[in-house]
Amino acid sequence: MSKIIIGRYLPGNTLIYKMDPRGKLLATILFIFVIFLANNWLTYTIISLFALLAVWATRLKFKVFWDGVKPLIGLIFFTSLLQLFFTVGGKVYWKWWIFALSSYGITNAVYIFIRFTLIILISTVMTVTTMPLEIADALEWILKPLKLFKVPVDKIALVMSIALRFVPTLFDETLKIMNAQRSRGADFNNGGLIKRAKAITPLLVPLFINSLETAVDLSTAMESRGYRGSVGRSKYRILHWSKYDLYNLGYFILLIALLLIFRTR
Amino acid sequence: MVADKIIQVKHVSFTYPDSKTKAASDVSFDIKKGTWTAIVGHNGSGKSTITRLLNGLLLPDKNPETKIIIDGQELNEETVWDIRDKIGIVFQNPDNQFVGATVADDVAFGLENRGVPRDQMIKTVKWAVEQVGMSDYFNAEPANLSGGQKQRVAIAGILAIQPKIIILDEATSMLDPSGRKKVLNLVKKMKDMEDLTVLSITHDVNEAFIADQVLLLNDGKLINQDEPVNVFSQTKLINDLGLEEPFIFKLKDKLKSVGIKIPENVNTEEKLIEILCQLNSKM
Amino acid sequence: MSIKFKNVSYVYSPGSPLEKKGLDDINFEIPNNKFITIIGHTGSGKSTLMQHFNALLKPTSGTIEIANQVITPTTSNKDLKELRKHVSIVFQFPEAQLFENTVIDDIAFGPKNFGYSEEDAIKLAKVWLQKVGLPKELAQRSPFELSGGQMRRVAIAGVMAYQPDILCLDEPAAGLDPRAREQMLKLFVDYQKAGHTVILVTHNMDDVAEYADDVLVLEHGKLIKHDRPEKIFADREWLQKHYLDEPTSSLFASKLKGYHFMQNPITIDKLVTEISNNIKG
Repeated sequence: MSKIIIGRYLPGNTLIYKMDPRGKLLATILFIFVIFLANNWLTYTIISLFALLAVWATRLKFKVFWDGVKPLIGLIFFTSLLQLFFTVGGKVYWKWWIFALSSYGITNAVYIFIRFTLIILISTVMTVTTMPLEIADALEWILKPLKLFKVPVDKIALVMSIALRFVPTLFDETLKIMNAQRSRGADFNNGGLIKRAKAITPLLVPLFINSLETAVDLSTAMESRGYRGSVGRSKYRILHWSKYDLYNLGYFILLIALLLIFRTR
Repeated sequence: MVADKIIQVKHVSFTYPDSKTKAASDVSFDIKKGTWTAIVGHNGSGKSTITRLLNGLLLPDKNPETKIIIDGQELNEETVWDIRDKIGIVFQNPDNQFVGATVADDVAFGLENRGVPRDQMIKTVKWAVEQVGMSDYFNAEPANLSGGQKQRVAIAGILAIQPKIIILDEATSMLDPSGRKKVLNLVKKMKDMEDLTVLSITHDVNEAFIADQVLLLNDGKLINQDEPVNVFSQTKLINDLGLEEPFIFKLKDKLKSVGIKIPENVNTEEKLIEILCQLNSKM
Repeated sequence: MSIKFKNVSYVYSPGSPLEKKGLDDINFEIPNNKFITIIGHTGSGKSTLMQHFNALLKPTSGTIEIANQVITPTTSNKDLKELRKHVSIVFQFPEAQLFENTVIDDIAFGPKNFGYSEEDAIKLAKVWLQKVGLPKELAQRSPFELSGGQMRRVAIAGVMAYQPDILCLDEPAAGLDPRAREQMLKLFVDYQKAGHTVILVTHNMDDVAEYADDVLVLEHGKLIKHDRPEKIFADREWLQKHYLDEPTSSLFASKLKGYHFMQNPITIDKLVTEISNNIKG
């Protein structure tokens, strides 16, 4: 199973699950911008508490979120280290060649660390509580204005939902072909980089060919079922705003207000 | 009576672009409304090509005599979408025709394509899913369904658009026996309930045997068109074409070879059992 | 070199919310050079069991003795190549595993992996191309230009070419037309007669009755019966209770009133003999 948690829906029934995916997607995207309003210890504390509130509201085990952060922890530390040694300003504690350890550097490193972690946490909250299909629906809604610029939003949305629907199928297929080639003596796990890259051909070629066949079959089926482009199509799946989305809105207004009040001008 | 014929195929040939041989060669046949027809032939005999010609997914080779008439409408560029409203196809691979993210979404797909208003769509989807006995799986994702269940959803998607003809394009060949039985029983039930005409492409003899008539294809040519009993009792031809003899014909042949003569006109299981019981009690 | 399963259980995704028992305390022993069939419904554990034969899956608990090797939950992945040379699996719709530029290279892929020289591998591939009933002219063609039935044969040749002692097949004839089916089964019967073990997963009870020396019946991950086909199909009530079909011949026989059968005729030839004995006294 995939170790990357972002994108893996976990069923649940708390408040946050009942919110409209459009609201959740907007909130997630806005959160990433709003985080830049924080510029002192107090505001960073406030936004961290808000993020933890969202995490808590899922009522999922904290391990779920830790699994989301874990694969990226190296990257987060690396970026923080760059900040730590390359920022100049404030009191300088230590200096060697182009590296310096300054008071600004330390604060920046910590800020960056918090910022990164919070963004991952909030994205994880979004993806574990929203079905991929709902995310696709929400994306379609957000992209709607692009229709004005002749972007085929409906088609993109259909492609997205079909792609999502075929992820498990493709996963099964990959496993099956891997097992078949292993039975024929293929070795996917040992050897150097080049040997491994070579070993993957017997996996990739069949996968590619099978996907192509699936695509042909699927387009035949779609055409037989009367698909002739997005003109004149009606929609079965419709999203509804509800009272739960007011909590989402309230949460956000409060967060922005607090950040604006307490940030250093 | 012409009105009686829901499908009329006249002098249809088809050659795939990169091929020299014809996949369908001057094929002509009629199908009566409300009947069950089995199209039989070994792999590569042109069975699937015929279905794709019927709903305009493939265009026949040009010939002034060629005509495909579905429910009184001649198939051409203008009528192709009307004709697709009249024909529902269940394809072979259960996975590769499941478009929607959930059972309900998939059943709705055909309705969405036709711009059916949402209120009506909700009712129709619910009805169709009920008909195929999948209500418990209304919001299930395809990954959690068996092959047979996916095929039942495909049938629901077809029922939703209320077609006149349903084509099973080897629809049961990838299923296990219990899935196969369920799908066939469902189609039988739907045929009677909705007054459908069924066209089933298969190489399963038992599946062909429940049909009213059989079209026997070989190398793109229509070899025979008759009742199943008459088609399959020509055992030599059936063997030559690489098809399987139905069990009772095989049994009759073998009995004959040990000196037990069964009259030619004994063509069904019931009759064979009857005659064998008689023979036994006489001794 | 018999195959022995001792208390073998397998659990999918242990410890997660998706935890599921795949195999539940499986015990059996099958002798060499037999034709074995495995039957059971979809989801009964047939393919899970099969993947244990060459350690694509390793038991969660229990031990497997197969091809002079012992597989336990702690068997290292490094030692498996030798095992897979002797025990191989043909999965359902194996044409999906073809990938080489030419038919001959695809068949030679397995032999090369298992230590045959390039030259020997190609030689073997040529032999098996014809053994599976394909014309040798196809050797240099791309496997993707072939018909579905031909691709299936190439894939099967690719596994049989290194002549595993134990050949496991999951519904190898699914979707093929009747003649191709028959030819394929004959190929496996011949292979078994030539001194190998063949293990066939199938839904076709007529094939079970016709070819099997031994039948393993699975249900919900448990081995519920292991016996000769005559014994398996003798108990009609038991079959019905487990939703298993009967062979066409014995089903037909059950409808013949006033007949006395010495033995339940599970194949058509046995049926003909029994009918003839009854009628002719």
